[in-house]
Amino acid sequence: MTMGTPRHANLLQPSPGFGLGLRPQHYADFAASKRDVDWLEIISENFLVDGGKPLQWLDRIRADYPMAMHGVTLSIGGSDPLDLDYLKRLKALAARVDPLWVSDHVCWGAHGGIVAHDLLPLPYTAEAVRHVAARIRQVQDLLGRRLVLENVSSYVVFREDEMPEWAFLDALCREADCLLLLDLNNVHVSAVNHGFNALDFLDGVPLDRVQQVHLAGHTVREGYLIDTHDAAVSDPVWALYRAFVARTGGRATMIERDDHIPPIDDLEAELGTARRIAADALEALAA
Amino acid sequence: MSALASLQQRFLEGLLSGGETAAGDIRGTPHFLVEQRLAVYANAYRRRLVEALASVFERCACLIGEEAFDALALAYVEAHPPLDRSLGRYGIDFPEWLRARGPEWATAAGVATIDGALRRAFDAADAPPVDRAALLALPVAAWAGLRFDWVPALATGRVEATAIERWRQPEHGGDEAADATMTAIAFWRRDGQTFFRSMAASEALLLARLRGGATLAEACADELSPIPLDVAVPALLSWIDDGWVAGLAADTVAA
Repeated sequence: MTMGTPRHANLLQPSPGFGLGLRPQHYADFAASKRDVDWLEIISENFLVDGGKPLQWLDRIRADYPMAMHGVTLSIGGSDPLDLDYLKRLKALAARVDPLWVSDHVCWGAHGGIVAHDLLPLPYTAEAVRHVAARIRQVQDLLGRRLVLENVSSYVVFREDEMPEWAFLDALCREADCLLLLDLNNVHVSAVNHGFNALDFLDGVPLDRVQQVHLAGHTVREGYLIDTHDAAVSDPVWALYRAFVARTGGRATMIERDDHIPPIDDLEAELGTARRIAADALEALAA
Repeated sequence: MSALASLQQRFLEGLLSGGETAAGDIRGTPHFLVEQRLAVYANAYRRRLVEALASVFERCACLIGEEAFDALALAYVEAHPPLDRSLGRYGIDFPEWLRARGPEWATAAGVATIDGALRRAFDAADAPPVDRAALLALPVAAWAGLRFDWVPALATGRVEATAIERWRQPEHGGDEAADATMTAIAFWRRDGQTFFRSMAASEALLLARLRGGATLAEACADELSPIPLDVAVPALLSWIDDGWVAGLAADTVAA
């Protein structure tokens, strides 16, 4: 199918279609034959190494697939100074990969020199918007490209919050001139955990700045959800994806699995579901 | 400190201690209490780091069993907040920490030392090794003045003698009496595969001197502990064959 043209097409890279997260379990599959996958997303940190097999696999697979770079330790919302050595290595990796775009998360992950290796939540305040936007601009200047930032799953609501998450993301995009990676599983997880309507989120974020979509699975606990990325995409997330495509015409879409990684054929089949749902939503839109 | 930095300080303190220093900052609901919400983060932090240690120190975990390893790893995590953005580099001193717990952990510490060194060799910088022909192309008279460059993946260390066999067969357990004798060992990577082997004392001494910048003649002719050529030359050839040497430079080349 053909993805729809966004309203502010000049802001966004053209959609490469439907992709998967590249994980070590599938390196050999991607190197052995062309899969029914339009593009791949790599975890940047997996390749911020000096040499060896990871970079050999990367170069080999990159020859056959467009790639986006997705980081997990930028800590764009942190209060420690930006890690310039990390950014230098990220920029060098981008020069090697020539990625579709470079993304990370709207979160913080380090403080006082300690790296939590988690995507920790920000308070949604005007102070945080100013702080994070300034850092995004700094990173964009250093990398020489617009940053694409993902909404994270969250388990806490701060008492000092001054706005809902979607308004925070909207303000951030306007002030930093960055783009969004919309993780619809994260939207659903946070919606359940905090009791908001996921469609309000979709209607509140600047959809014209959504460069990419993540689809993933989660774990159901009594009373809340955990974003584990270790299961198939759930029905509520598929429903949200359908609603997203109906609103936008569709964007670069990717299935993200981080644990309990299934065979590549299974993920391709799941990607087929995404293709089908997007096609159906577009067909309904045209009718 | 800004309000945001203060909040992050409290949140991180709670994360590291497993306490609720940020509880006053959080809104809870009857179906998802404040302490449950904070526990999601505290548990994820510990689980992720324990899994990172189990991934790097895979044979050590196999040797001592998953449950025992997880308990040990958790104790390590509680005492060692990560300072590096690379999860793969977390726990670089885990083997020494394990060794310091007492002699009953010596073999496991040795196995962990091997695990950690192989992991570092795995993604060390690339450098094409020289082959034996490059050495043999030099006149024999030039060998005495040779200095060597080494591939970045080459590393050396010392491990408990019992650890080498246990690393190869960790599923057989580690209930034998730990041998406190330490053995010199080398780690390297060739064609993407990582390797290690023990070294005789004379070989380890020669390698240390050459990696310190000595010429072959200087390394062999040390007054206190000379190394005979019939030890040095076979060692040198085996290192080249195994891909340890990245370059040869002759101080003076005889005509």
